[in-house]
Amino acid sequence: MIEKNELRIITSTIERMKGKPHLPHELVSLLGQTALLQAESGCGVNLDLSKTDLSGSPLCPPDRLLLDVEQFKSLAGQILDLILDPSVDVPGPMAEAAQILQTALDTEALNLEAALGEVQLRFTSDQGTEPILTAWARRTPGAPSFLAFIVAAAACPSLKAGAAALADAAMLDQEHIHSQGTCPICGSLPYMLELKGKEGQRFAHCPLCRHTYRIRRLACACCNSDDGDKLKYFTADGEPGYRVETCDNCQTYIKTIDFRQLDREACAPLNDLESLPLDILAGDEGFHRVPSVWCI
Amino acid sequence: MELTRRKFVQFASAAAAGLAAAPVFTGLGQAAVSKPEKRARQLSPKWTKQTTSICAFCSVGCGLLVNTDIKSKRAVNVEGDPDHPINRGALCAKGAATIQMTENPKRTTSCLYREPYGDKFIEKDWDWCKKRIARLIKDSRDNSFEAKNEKGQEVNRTMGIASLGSAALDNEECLAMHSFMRSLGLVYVEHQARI
Repeated sequence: MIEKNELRIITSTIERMKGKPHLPHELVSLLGQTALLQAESGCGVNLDLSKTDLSGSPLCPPDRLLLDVEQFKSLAGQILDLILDPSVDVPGPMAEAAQILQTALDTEALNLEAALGEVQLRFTSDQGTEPILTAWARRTPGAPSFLAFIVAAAACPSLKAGAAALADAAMLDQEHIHSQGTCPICGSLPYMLELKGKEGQRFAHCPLCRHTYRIRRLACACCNSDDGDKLKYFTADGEPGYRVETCDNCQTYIKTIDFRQLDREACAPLNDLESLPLDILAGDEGFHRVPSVWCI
Repeated sequence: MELTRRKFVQFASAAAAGLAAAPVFTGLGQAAVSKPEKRARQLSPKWTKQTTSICAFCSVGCGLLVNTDIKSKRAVNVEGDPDHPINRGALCAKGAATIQMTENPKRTTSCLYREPYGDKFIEKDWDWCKKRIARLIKDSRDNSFEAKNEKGQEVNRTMGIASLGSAALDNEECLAMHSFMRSLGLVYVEHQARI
């Protein structure tokens, strides 16, 4: 059973995004329905934490995060079914890529877990060593990130549940301010930030294990630089509730959700798409970012 | 791999350096960004930078975050610093209005004087005001100065003037002000935070 609050936030975010004509409606629909599927699957995860070592920092390297393989494959199938459903409006190249992937899975020509392994390292290590994902990008040139999207989306509930269990087991304090921007659970760099509470505490969202953790308010979430002259921010009147934080030291940017003045609740994976015009503005200035949680 | 703290930091830094400049949300088809691109061209970003500061209204010393417009160099927003150990992001009513110390269209920018029995303010320059204030202080001080008390003891004081300091003053300003007041012979030197 889906947690009602989570369902309500996802649904209201989708509805709000549908009212914005500048957003790609097929993508809004696909990511919204995938987020709902992920929320539904979150309750059925089955993990064994008994052999997990809780003394490391981060607690668990990305490639060793716990995964409920059965649930992972099942959700991958459900997302593929969703894309292949003729009644669902998806971008043309995606439907074609979904057919190719479905065939590969039926003939066991593809190992989804191996592909997930490459995705898991994408958020922390240098790119360029992704033989499976690169080969699939060539096979589906219209939607080069299709395989990465499927495995990342399908693994999400399992990785999220594993991270939550690890955080509980290690008794991580939600209010503790981490000196580094990297995730204390898996070591990934955050993809979105959020200012919470009246006081504006700054929380980071991990793209891999979806853990949320508090970080310093005045420091780059990527390289940890706290040189005020190199950290700049921009907002745009047409995009309320979001601001972009840039760092001249590492040339990265990260979007911050700030709904403190608005009657909204954050759903970071969808808010990332909602604030897409800001990515384009930041890209124009020469900044780059951590891949989105959807790996697209 | 055993991940020591040093390795962990290096690992994270290397990751930051290796991020690709690939545009987001194009992995399922380039068409997805055509509309947002048009939208982005209609937006005009407002750039700011953030600095930490300390509230000067009282001696608690609450931490502030000040957003400053990069072009105009003017403050656009002041809020409590959630990482500050004293206030943890919270501010009192005065602290929350700190920005008005510099950014307030109703703030007077010239000296205004109302004559005795007058009903209007008249704009005066600083030199005129300083001379007027000095004259009144000197007259009050001379009229109320006591060289000796009732017992004949030397006191060199004035009971006709009192000084009320402000918590917004820093140590150096307080020292200068206090020295000046004592040199005039003031006894009543107080501070607004104690009232």
